[in-house]
Amino acid sequence: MFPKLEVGNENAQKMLLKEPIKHMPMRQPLTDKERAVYEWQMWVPEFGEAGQEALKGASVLISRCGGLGSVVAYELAAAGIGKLVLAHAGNVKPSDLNRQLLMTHDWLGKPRVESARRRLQELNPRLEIVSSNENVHEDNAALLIEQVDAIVDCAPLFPERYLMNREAIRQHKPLIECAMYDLEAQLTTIIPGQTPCLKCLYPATPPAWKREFPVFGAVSGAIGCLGAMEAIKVLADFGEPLLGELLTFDLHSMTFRKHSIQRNPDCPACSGVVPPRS
Amino acid sequence: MKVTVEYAAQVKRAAGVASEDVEVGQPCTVQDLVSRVASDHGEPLNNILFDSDGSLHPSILLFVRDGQVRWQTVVELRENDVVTILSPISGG
Repeated sequence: MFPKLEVGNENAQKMLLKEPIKHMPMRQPLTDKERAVYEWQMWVPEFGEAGQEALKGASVLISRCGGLGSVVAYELAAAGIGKLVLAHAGNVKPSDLNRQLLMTHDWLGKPRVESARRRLQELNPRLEIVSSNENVHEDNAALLIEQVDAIVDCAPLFPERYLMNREAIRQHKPLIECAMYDLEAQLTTIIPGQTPCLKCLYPATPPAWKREFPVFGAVSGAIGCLGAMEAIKVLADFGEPLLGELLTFDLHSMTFRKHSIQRNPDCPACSGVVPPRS
Repeated sequence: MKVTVEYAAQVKRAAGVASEDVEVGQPCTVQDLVSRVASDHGEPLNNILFDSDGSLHPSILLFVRDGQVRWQTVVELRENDVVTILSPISGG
């Protein structure tokens, strides 16, 4: 009744996924000061000055700047991203401080995005920051995503994540999905029309998922760094982003795995979507 | 034949183990195996994996030899295969 699947055609699937990503940021020339700051990463052969110019001209939305988003934002700021759009409601709480590295003890009770802004500007005063003291929601998602070249999803709630998935598809923007739990994490990069989208993977909100969960800052930091690196690769068009692949790790055993993942041909979010022409 | 089941995230918590070797008869499909471990472990693993109508919850991801397989697609397992059962997690 159901077709039999021969597992093992992942290489063929991978070749189909290596199409160039069509939406690229506008490169911006570097100053001598910037060349000095980013010298060591410009030595990376596939990246170089062209990659750095691409980062300077690029903008990223980070949905929530908590444990994950703090580190994504910090690493992108360190790498020389041109603009960050941060969306996160609420004030700093004591329980944030084991992992939300852009929050500080003296900022308890004050808006998270403002702490994020000041910490990021200390690191990179050239960085343009647009901050919103709101989480991504139905009324702001389209506008927030219109402003950027890519999205890094660090949000804890699946309705929020599905909303970003929907808008990323509609606007043909890359979406880097970061997730964590306990000592484990997951990461994939979604290119609408090329890779599985979030709904391909998780068509329904998982009933077991809770807003609050066990996690160490070192775990959110690790996956945040990896998520930032995915964004850098996508924006500067080098390396091999996790297209059609789900990276998982478990720091209990220091096990890292890559799984190949598939588009769902009947996906309610992205079936029939093809990448835009260059 | 022996196959290995690896559990991730909340599935691991529900199973109480990160992985286990399971001795199965042949032929054995991944569907047979998942049903078997859910039955062997009982609750809460069974509850996190299956809906009330006995279908795998659509949010659960299955991998055989690191390739995703869908519940609706019959996949026969081979000796020493590794099957990963993974539940979705999120940010924060």
